[in-house]
Amino acid sequence: MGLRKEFDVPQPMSFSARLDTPKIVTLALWGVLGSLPIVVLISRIAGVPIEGLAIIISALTLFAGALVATYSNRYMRSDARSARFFGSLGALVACVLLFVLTNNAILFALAWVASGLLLAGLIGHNEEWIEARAAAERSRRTFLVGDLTVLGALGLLCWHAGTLRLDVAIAASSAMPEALVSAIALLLLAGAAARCALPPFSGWLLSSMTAPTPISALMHAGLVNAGGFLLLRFTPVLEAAPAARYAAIALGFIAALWGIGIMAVRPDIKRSLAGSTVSQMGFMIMSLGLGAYAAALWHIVAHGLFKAWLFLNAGSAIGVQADRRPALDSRVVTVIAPTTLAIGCVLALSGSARGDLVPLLLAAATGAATLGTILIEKVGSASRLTIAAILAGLALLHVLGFELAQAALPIAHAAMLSTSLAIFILATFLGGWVWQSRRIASRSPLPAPLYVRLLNAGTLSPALPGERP
Amino acid sequence: MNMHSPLVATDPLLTRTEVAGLVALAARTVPPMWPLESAIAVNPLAGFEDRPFSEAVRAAAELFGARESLPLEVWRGLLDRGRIEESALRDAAIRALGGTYKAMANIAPGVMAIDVLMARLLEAETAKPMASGEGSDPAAAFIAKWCAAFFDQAISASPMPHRDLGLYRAVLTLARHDAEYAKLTGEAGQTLLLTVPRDPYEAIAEGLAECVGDSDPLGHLSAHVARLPGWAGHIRWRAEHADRERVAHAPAGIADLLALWLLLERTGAVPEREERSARGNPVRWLARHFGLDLEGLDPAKANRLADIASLDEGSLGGLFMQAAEWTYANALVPKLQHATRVEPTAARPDAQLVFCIDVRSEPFRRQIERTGSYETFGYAGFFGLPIALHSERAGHRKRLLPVLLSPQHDVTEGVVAGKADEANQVAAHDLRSVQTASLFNAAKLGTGSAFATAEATGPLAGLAMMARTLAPRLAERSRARQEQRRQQVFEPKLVYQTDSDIFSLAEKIGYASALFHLTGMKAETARLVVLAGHGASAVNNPYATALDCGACGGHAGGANARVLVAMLNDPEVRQGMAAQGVAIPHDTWFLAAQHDTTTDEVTIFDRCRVPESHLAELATVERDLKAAGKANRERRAPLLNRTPEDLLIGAAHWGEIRPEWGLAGNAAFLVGPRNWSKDIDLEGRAFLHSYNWETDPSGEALTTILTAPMVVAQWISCQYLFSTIDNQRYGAGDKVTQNVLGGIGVVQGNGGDLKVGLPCQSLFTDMGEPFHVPQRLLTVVQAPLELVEAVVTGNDILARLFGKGWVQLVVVDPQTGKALRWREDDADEQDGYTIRSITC
Amino acid sequence: MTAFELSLHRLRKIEIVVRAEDHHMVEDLLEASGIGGWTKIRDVAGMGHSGFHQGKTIFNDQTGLVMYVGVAESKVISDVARGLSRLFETRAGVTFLSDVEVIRSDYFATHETVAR
Repeated sequence: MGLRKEFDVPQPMSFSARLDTPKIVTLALWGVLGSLPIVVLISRIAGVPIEGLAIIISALTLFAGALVATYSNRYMRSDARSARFFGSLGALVACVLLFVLTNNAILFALAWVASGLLLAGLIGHNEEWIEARAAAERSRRTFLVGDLTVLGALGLLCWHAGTLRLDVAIAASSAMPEALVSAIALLLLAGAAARCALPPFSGWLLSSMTAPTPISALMHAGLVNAGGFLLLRFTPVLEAAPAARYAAIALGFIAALWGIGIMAVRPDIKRSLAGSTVSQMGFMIMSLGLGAYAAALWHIVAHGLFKAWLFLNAGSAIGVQADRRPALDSRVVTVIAPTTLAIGCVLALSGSARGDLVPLLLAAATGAATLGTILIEKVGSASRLTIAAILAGLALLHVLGFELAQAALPIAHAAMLSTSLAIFILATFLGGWVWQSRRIASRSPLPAPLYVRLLNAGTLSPALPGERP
Repeated sequence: MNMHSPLVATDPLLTRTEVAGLVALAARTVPPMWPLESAIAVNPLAGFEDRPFSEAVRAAAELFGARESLPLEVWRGLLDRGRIEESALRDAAIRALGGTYKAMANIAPGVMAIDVLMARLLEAETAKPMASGEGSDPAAAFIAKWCAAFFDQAISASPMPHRDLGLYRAVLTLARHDAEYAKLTGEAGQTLLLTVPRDPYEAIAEGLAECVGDSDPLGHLSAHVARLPGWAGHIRWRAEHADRERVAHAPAGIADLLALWLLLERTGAVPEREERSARGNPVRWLARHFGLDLEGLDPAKANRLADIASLDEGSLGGLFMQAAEWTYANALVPKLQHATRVEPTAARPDAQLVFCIDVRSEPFRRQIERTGSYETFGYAGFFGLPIALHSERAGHRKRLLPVLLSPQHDVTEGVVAGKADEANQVAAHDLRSVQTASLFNAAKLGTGSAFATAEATGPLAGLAMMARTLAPRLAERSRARQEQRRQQVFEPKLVYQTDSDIFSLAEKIGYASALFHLTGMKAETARLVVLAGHGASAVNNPYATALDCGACGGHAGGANARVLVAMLNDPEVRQGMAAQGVAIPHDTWFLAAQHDTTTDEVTIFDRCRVPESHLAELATVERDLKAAGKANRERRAPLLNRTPEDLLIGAAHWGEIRPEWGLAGNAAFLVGPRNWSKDIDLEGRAFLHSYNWETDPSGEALTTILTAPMVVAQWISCQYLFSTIDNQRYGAGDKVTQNVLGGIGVVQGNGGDLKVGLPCQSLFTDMGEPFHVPQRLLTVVQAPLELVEAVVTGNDILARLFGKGWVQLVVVDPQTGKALRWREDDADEQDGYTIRSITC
Repeated sequence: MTAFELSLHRLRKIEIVVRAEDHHMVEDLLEASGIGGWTKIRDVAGMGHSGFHQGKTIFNDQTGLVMYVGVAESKVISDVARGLSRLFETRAGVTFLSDVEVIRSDYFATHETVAR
C-alpha cells in the first residue's frame, strides 16, 4: 500500500512476439486439456494407469489455465510484456502437471520449486512497480521456506526408503519409525501450509493483488491447491503420523475462521476474495486432517472453479449498494445451527460418524438455511420455485462431485481421529454462524480490536530494506 | 474550556471559521471525483484553472509529483508517425525563441539558435523518464487504508465501526487498536490520541500552530490534500455532489482528511516531500553535437546556448504539444473557412436525427447522412432536461444531467400503458436475480455456509466461465434480452403516480423549444425526427460508465430522449410552442432512440406509439441506421486493431479490456450549422453542437453552448490530456492490476489512493503508443465576431478558459470566412490584437 | 386600546456575494461558525470593479453570483467575517456587515460546535 506505482509508457515489443506467444500458449493448453482423456485411456491400456487424483488435479489446472489464457488474449492485449506473461503461464501449468503426474522424487521437487518461482514472478509481473516487486519477493521467501520443508520431507522419505520412486517411498512410510514419519508429515504440512496460505504464511496471498487479474484467478483456482494435493498424495504418511493430523486440523481450523474474518472486513474485492481463499484452504486442510479425503478433493476442484470465476468477474463490483447487503435470515440460522449440531452429536454417539462428518453436515445446514430463508422471506412463489430448483440442482451437483472424488481416491476416508474434536469444530462453525448472522441482522459492527486486526492482515510493509525509490 | 493560565503564551490558534476557510480553499487543489458507477470526466487541474495553462501545469506537476508532459521519446515517436508535423514543431520552437529574428541568430558560425533548440527537441539524449510520485510513504498508506474502510459502500460484510462519528473521529477511535499506527507514530502517537481535539477544525488549528506556525498554512494544507488526490476528490464528491441519504452513514469532509494528515505530521510520521532530482545539463551534449568550442564562445552566445540547454523536458514537451495543436488546427480551420459558404439544402429531408455532441456521434452521423436524405443535429445528450430518474431496480435516483446542474425534476420509471402483465414478469425476473445473488453473497461468507457454497456452486461457475469466455454473446443473450424487455415495458413517466405533474406545461414548452433555439433547428421539421441518446456496452468493466453519456451524468441517454419526445409529441405542448413561434408541422412524429457506441447499433424506443402513417418511413430509417452502424464499425475496427465482427463480440466479453476507444482523440468543439462541417471528415475527434447565429441575435444560445456543453467538453479534453501525460498520477494506470474498492472506484494492487482519471488502456494503443495525442481543446464558432466577443467577455468562465489558454478559440466569420483566434491574456503584443487572424 | 409593543433584539447581519462556483466554500464556513441558518439568493447580477457580472446561464449552475444573508450574535458574525477574510485572499467576493433588529431571536440561535 502506498508504495510508488510506476507504469511508464510501455515500450512496444516486437510484433511477432506479441502475436505468437499468446495464441500458441492458449492453443497448447486447450490441446493438452482435450487430449487428457486420450492420455488417460492410453495409460490404462498400457497398464500404467494414471491415478484418479492426478487426473482430477491435472484436468482442473488445465481447464483453469486454458480459460485464463483465452480470457487473457483480450485482457492482456495491451500488455507490454505479454510474451513473457503467456510464457510463464504455460510454464506454470506445465510445472503443475509435472509434479502432479510424476513418480520421480527429483522431478517432483524440481517442478514443485519451479512452480513457486514462476508464480512469484507473475505476482511481480509489472517489475517497474515497487509494490509488485515487494509482493513477489514476499511470495518467493514464503515459498522458499515451504519448499525447503517439502524438500526436507522428500529427502528424508526417499533416503529412508532408499528409492526415488514416490509410490514406493510412500508405501514404505508405514514401516518407518514413528518419530521420523511424524517429522516428515509435519514438514509436508508446513510446505502445504505455505502454498495454501494458511497462517502464518497468509501474507503472500493477501498481498498478491499486484498480479494481473487472470493470474489471481489461476492462482486461486490452481496454485494454492498444490498444498492440498501434496497432502493427498502423501496420505499414508499422514495417517502414520497422528500428530501431523492434529496439527493440520488445528491449523486449518484457525485459517478457516481467520480467513472468513478477513473476507468480511475487506473493502476491496480482490483481497476480500483472498481472505476467502485462506479460509477455504484452511477448511480443506482441516478436512484432510479429519480424514475426509474425498471431501477435501472435491473442495479443491469446486472451490477452484468458484474462485476463478469470482476473480475473473472482479471488474463487475462497481456500484454495489449497502442497502442490498445480503443476509441469510438469522432466525432460520438460529434454528438450523443447533439442529445440525444435535444431528452431529447423534451420529457421533451412534458411532457412524466418518471423517467427513463436518463438511457433510455443514453442506446440509447450508442447504437447509437457504431453503428456510426463501420460505420465510417475502418472495413470490415463482421465485421460490426457481430458487428452490437452483438449490436442488446445486445439491445434486455437489453430491455428484463428491461421488466423483470418492471414486478417484483409493481411500476416500481415513478413520476418524477423534469424534469429540469433530463435534467441537462443528459447534464452533455453527456457533460462529449464528453469531455472525445475528450481528449482520442487527447491523452491529465487529469489536474494534478484532476489526482492526483483521483489516491489517496481510498488509505489505511499505518500508522494505534495500528499497529506495 | 481551558483554564486561564497567564504564564503560558496565548496560542496563536486560528479560529474554526478561519480553518474552515483555509480548508475550503485547500480542497480546491483537487477536483471532485465521481464514483465509477457514474463516471464523470473532470480536469485533474481544475483547481489551477485561474492560472495560465503552462504555469498551472508546472505548479500542479510540482504539487502532485507528476510529469509536465509526455516523455520526449514518446513525442518523437508521434512526430515520426506523422501525428505531428515537423514544420509545426519548428514554428513552435521559433515562437519560444522570441520570433524569427532571434531564432535565426547564430550561436556559432553556421549554428542558429533554432538549430540548437530543434536538436534538443529531436535528437538530444533524454533524461530517464522522471519517476513520478513519491517514494514509499507509510503515512499515506495508513490514511488510504482507513479511507478505504470508511468509504466502502458495500463490499465488506462487516463495515468499519463508528462510521457515524465521521472519518476523523472514527479513525481516532480505532487507531488505538492499530498496530500499524503504533509502529508509524511511536510514543508520540499514543499521547496525541488522548489529547488531540475531537473536532477536526480545532485539530487542524492545533496542528497548523505546531507544524507551520504562520508561514503559508494554505500551502501546507494544499500539499496534504495533494498527497492522496483520489480520496480527497471522493470526499469532495460526497460533500458537494452526492445525494445526502446515500452518504449520511459515513460523513466526511476535507477537514477530516487534513486533521488526519496533521495528526500524523505532529508525530513525525509524514516524510518530507522529496525534491525532484536535479536535471542533467545537456550543454556538453549540444557542444559535442554541433562541434562547438564552449571556451571559445563569446559570453552572450554562451548564455544563449545555456538558456536553450536549460529548458527542461516539461518545456520541450510543451512545444511538442503546441505543435500537435497547430498541426491539427492548420488542417481543420482552412477547411472550415472554406465551408462557410456552403448553402443549406432547402428540401424537406426524409427524417431528421438529433445526436449528442459526443465525438463518437460525428462519424455515425456522417454514415447515416450518406445513406439517404437525412439531416442531423448535435445537441447536449441530456436534451436540456435537468432530471433525475427513480427506478425500483436501481435503489437510488440516477442524476441524468450534466454535473454542472442540479436536478429540477424527479422522474419516476413506470409501466408503459397496456404492458402491466409483461412488466410484472420482468420485475419478477429482476427480483429473482437480485434475491439469488443476495442469497449467494450471504451464504458465501457465513462460517457455517461458506464452504458448502463454494463446493456447490463451483461446477456452475465452471460452466459459466466456459460460456462467457468461449461464447460470450450467447452468455450475454439472456441478460441483453431482459434489458431489452425492460426498456420496452418501463418508461420514464412525466406524471407522478397519476396525480401530480412533474413538469408544468410552461416547463414542457420551454424544454421542447430549447432544442430549436439552441441548435438552430427550424420549426419546419421532417415527418420523422429521431432524438438519439447514447450509451455503451461493456461487460465486467469498472470503467463502463466512462463510455456512457457524460451529459447524462455518466449514464446512457435513452431516458432523456424519451422524456423530451413525450413532450414534443404532446399536442398541448405543440400548441404552446406554436404560440411562441415554433410551429411544428402536424405530420411530424418524434421518436426516441439510443445509439450504442460500442456496437453502433441503434435501439428505437416506444415503437408501439408510432402512428401507422409513419411506419413505412420508420422501417426505412431503421434499415439505414443498421447500414450506418455497419459502416461505422468497419471504420472503427482498424483503429482498435480488430475486426468489425470482433467489436460485437468484445461488447459482450467479460475479458475485453478495451471495448471501444471512448472519447480518445477528442480535439475540437465545433459550434455551427451541420452543413458547415458536413463535407469534412472530422475522424471522430470533434464535438459537434448545432448552432445558427442568425436565430440567436442576443447570443443567449451561444452563451449556453459555451458555458455548459463546451465546459463539459473541456473537462473531457483535460482529463484525456493529463491522463495521457502522466497516467500514473493523473490517470488510473494499468487496468489489469486494478482492484475494485468499495463499489465506488479502483485502487492499484493491494490498496493506496483511489485512482483518478482514465486507465492506460483508454489512451494508449496495444503497442504502448499514445492513441490520444495530448492537446488542448480547439473551439471553433461560426458566428460574427462581435457576438462571440460579447458572449466571452460577459462570462467569467469563458474569459478564463480562453484567456488563460485552457481552450483555444477560433471564430469563423459566417460571411467572409475569415478566421480569428482569441489571444491569451499573457500573449506578447507582437502576438496580435485581442483576436488575431491565423490564416487570412 | 394599547399599542402592541414589539420586543426587538439587536443582532448583526452579514451579507456575502461570491461566485456561484465557490458557494460550497461559503456554506462550509458558515456551518463551521455554528450560525443557526442563512438565506441564499441565487442568480445575483451586478456591476463591480471587474465589470458587469451576468446572472447564471441556463445549463450551468456554477456561473453567475450567489448571495448569502446571515444573522446572529455579533461574535459569531465577526467569526464568519474572519473566516471569509481567509477565503477572499484568493477568491473573489464581497461582504457587508450591519446591525439589525429581529423580532424572534430564537430563530437566530447558534449551533453548538462539535464538543471535544
